[in-house]
Amino acid sequence: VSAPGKMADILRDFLRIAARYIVAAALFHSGMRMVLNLAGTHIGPVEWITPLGEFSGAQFAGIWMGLSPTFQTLGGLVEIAAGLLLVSPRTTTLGAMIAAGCSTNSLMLHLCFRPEPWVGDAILLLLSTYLVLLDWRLLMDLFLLDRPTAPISVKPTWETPQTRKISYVLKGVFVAYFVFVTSLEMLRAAQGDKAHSEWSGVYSVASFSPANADLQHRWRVAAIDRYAERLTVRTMDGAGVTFQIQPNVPQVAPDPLISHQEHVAAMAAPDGRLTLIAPDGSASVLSYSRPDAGRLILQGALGGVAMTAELRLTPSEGLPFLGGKSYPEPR
Amino acid sequence: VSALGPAHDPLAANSKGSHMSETEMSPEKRDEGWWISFALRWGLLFWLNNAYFLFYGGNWGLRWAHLFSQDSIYAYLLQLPHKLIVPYWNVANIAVGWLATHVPGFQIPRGQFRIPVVDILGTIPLAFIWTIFDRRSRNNAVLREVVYLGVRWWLATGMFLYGSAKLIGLQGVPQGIPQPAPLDWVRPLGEISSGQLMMTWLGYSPIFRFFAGVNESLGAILLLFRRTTLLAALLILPVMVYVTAIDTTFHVGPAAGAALYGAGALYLVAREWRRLAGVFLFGKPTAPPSPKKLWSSPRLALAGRGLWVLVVAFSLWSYVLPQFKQAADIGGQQSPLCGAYRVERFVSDGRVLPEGAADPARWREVAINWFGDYIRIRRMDESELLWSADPGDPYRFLVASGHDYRYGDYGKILAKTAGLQEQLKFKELPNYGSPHTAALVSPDFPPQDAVLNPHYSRGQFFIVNFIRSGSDHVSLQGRIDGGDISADLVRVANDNFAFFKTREGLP
Repeated sequence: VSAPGKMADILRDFLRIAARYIVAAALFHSGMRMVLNLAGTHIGPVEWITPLGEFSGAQFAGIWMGLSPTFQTLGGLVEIAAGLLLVSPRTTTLGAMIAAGCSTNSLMLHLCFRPEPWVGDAILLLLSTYLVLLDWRLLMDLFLLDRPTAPISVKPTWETPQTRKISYVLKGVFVAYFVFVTSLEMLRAAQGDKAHSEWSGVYSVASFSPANADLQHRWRVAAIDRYAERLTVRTMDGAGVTFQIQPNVPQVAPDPLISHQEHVAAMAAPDGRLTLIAPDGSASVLSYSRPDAGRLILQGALGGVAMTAELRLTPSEGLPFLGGKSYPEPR
Repeated sequence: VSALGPAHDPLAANSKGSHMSETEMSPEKRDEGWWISFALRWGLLFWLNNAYFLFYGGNWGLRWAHLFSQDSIYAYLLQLPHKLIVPYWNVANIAVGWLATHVPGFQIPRGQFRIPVVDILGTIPLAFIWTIFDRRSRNNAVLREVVYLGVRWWLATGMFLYGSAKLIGLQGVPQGIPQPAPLDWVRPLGEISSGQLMMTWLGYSPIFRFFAGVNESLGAILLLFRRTTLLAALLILPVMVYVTAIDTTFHVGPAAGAALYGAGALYLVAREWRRLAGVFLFGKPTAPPSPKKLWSSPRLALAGRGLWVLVVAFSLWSYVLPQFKQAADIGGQQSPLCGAYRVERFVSDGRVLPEGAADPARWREVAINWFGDYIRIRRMDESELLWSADPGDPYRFLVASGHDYRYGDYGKILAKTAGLQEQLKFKELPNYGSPHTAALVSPDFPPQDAVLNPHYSRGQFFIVNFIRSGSDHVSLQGRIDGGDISADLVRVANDNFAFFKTREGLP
């Protein structure tokens, strides 16, 4: 074999290995997130009281994704299995075919619902398609022409007993990295996500003053999300506004992995004051009291307008979304 | 011998011990043993049972039923197998129920998965008896081929049905209406079931739905040819697993149907498992199967091809054409009333209820669906009323409830709200937020009631007058819920809804 030909073979082998490990790494990462139920949006009271028409396509895709842990886990296991198949040269084509299916589905979701940039999925699809096409003759014979098939050689040009041993070690390091580093990090994040504030829930508005406030300022129903990070208020005119809640404690740089947990702990500290950040960025400091677990009284100047709202926690277990009784919808 | 050596020679795959499919080793001569003989007979009976009900109950028989009277020979022949096997299935149902009660650890699922489980268990005694009577024949080449052809055809028709519905935008999108439909725009997410949200998700993006439809339709086309059947099954299998997982975890409609199609695709894949394992797991050479030919003479082969053409044409005519006809009937039209409205003025028994007074009975928002035949009303007290135009069903067209769809029906519905002043008869449907639900339906109503019972809602009909002035103002008047109601509605612009602005294409 001529020197340029050998170089081309080496380059092809290198590209194949690089493509395999890039796709496998991405699948491990995404699969672990799904298995640990970290993908998608975990919706709660704030979303329950929001009309369906007010969700964008991206939010809608996130809600759908986060709705069923079982479905997510199944999808995650398929991605991890594909990643494992890609680690072995012999099973690469099968792994790449599954990876191509997963990334096509993911790319289509991103393109159609636009939850986040789709370039990553496009690259994964490109790489997994490349790996599949390396075996195109065999696949044509198997799937389209129904002919006998002969496997192609998967040995790299440089393979010797020594390089084989090195490759085993590298594979071990690769798998260990994902199992011990990424997984542990995600487990920590999953632990943080389990936090739940006692403030969380759907509230009816027992009383609101001033009683003669404009319809767009008079609260009708309110909800606080599971980490007590957001307060959504639906007003009498049918509109809604969501505030970010900031506890009145000294702010330290939050650990992004357990920021929810830290926020829940901060909100649990009895202080009597909190800050609401409106969508336009304006901040309002309100005082609050919780005479009992089911009542919350907010008082202060919200957006410069004095108000007092007495909120009462309402049971949500019966909501159809949470598995309560539902009735056939028009079709 | 190949230059790669015997291990890489595909021809050597025909020798003993190679990774070949089960059918390729002289199938006519092989004694396959009791268990495989039993399994094939059971598979054939199970498939026949399902294929018959696909014909009789689902798509074909009922589709033509209106052309024949119940006393005709057609109706008699169609129902005869059903009448013959019903006693057996009744006994099977009782036996399975008895086993579930008395055998520790034996449980049968409730709901839609009960039927396939009873089918699976119920066909076992029949297959057992058949295998015993047929004990001299342990060669199943013909039987295997019949099951193979049957499953291919059955799977292809199913994929044509669902694939074409998605391609032209009729699945997940009732009557082609993009989701969320106007009726749901003002509805809080918490009041929607996860199953409905799943269907809304499917109906949200026309491009995603088209992509899903292409996959199923391509699978159906590839199933028509023996050479590409394996590829088709490998395309369909993950899709059906995906759909079954979605349907089961989101509690959507007939998950068992997708699971059965998945089982069919799995069978087509599994019968080539040795070949697939050789190619994808062990890196071994493989050879294609050599099936038993059912058509041994040229004339029979010609007849077989003719039958193939007939079956394909019939499947397309019966499954695909109706979808196109329905899409053409709707033709993208909508009622001028369709949309979401704010209630600007509300009068009850001559008394004006201002919005600021927050009277619980006052209407706050009204949403009217695509064809103007369903109305959702949100009141100030967060309760909700859902109305359905005459005949007052939750499903506009459904064979089982006696309101089958005929070409031109959508035009008739649209004509009812086309004028500036119209009058429609409505009935209230039970709903999560309705204060009247307890009076409209018994609390333990079986879910299939809404499908099978034309009078599912016990509500009384009432007349509503529509007066439309311009495209954005509508007045509703009528004697509703014991009072004379008049409501002036102002349209909420579609662009006020976030989903509307982010979705590709037009509503």
